[in-house]
Amino acid sequence: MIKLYSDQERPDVVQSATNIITNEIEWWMIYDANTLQVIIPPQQCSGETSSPYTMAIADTLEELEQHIQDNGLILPVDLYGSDYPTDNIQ
Amino acid sequence: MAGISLILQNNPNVTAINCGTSSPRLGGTVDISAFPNLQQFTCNSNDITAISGYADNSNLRVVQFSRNKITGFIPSLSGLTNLQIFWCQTNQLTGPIPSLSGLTQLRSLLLFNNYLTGSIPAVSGSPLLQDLYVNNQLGATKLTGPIPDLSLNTALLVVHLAQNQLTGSIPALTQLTQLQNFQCQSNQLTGSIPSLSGLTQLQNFFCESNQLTGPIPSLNGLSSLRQFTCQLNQLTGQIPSLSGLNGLTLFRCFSNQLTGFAGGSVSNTLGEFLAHNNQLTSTAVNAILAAFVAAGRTSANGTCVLNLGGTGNAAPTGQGLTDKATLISRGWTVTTN
Repeated sequence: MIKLYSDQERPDVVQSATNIITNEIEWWMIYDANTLQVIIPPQQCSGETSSPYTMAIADTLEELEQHIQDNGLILPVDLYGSDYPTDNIQ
Repeated sequence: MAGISLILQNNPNVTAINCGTSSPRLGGTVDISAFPNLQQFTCNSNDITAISGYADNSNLRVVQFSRNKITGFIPSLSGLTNLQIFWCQTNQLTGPIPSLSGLTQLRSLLLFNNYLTGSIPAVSGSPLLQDLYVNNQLGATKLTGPIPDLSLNTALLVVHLAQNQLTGSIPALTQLTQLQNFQCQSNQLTGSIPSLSGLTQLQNFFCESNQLTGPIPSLNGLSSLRQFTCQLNQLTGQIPSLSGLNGLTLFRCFSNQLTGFAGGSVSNTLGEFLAHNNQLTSTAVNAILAAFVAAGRTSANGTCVLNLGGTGNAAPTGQGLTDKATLISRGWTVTTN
């Protein structure tokens, strides 16, 4: 198992994350570095994570948001508005 | 820019007006009182700041002015006795939703993305209602009070109530056999999730971020269900069986107080299952991992995310550890304790 300690300024980034342990106060996310699609948006969740994708871990949400911006990552589409009707249904 | 009243005046033969969309967009105010036989008025996606002169026109069947810049209150609709469609979403409307009493022909009511306040009026007098969208009011004060009784609205297809300040419980839904989409997330709802039995057309059910208690109801027979979210409540009991939900793609129940898993299979369409921050036992965690291994889904099928970690859940043991490794080898992103 690997224990990562985030620095104060930028997230730790692990490609092909294997058994990465996070605690309940760290922020992390998973994204596909090829497509830039974010697969798991920033969250706090303790546990041991493995993923074929890239995992970024930080002390704060703001660090991850900056990482998203700096790398042009694409957040997932909102679930909730996908069935809004279109205009002119008559 | 001139309003419509200056373009087409006093023409009793006009039964339909559609502003269309143009560049520059139509601005200013619109008064349609000069069209007594108007049945349909559509003026979506412009920069209109006020529309008047329609509240007493009983010939109107369709009123659509979504995505403009209209401010002020929605007028009384009681004179629009033949109204079928009323769309004014994405404006800057304030004040209460007027009474819907007498609107027996109403089929579609879209009021989302405004600044409406007060309670949702009774809809039981509109038995043909199919679409009810009052979600996402944008002011500091949003829609308050209870969700009205829906048991007589058996034609409902879509109910969007999210992101308000609604209180009370989710009403009975089992009579709504046509219901496809029910969203009440991000309110202040209490009580339990009602029975969903018999809702065979239900595709999406979202009730997260409330104060709901009690168990997740049985999902047996909900053969159309695709997405179910109930995270960030205070739910207890078991994660229900997901067997037979052959189109389910997403299930989120994280941050509750769930302790078990009812067992059974999961569909290989299910690519996002988030149950972290619960109180799942190792038996439950192992059973969930085993169900996903048995389903056979791989990253070639699309999203593969399984989170059973977080505060409160037990770690997998024995075969559960092997199953976790199997899922990872299939391209899943897996978190456990």
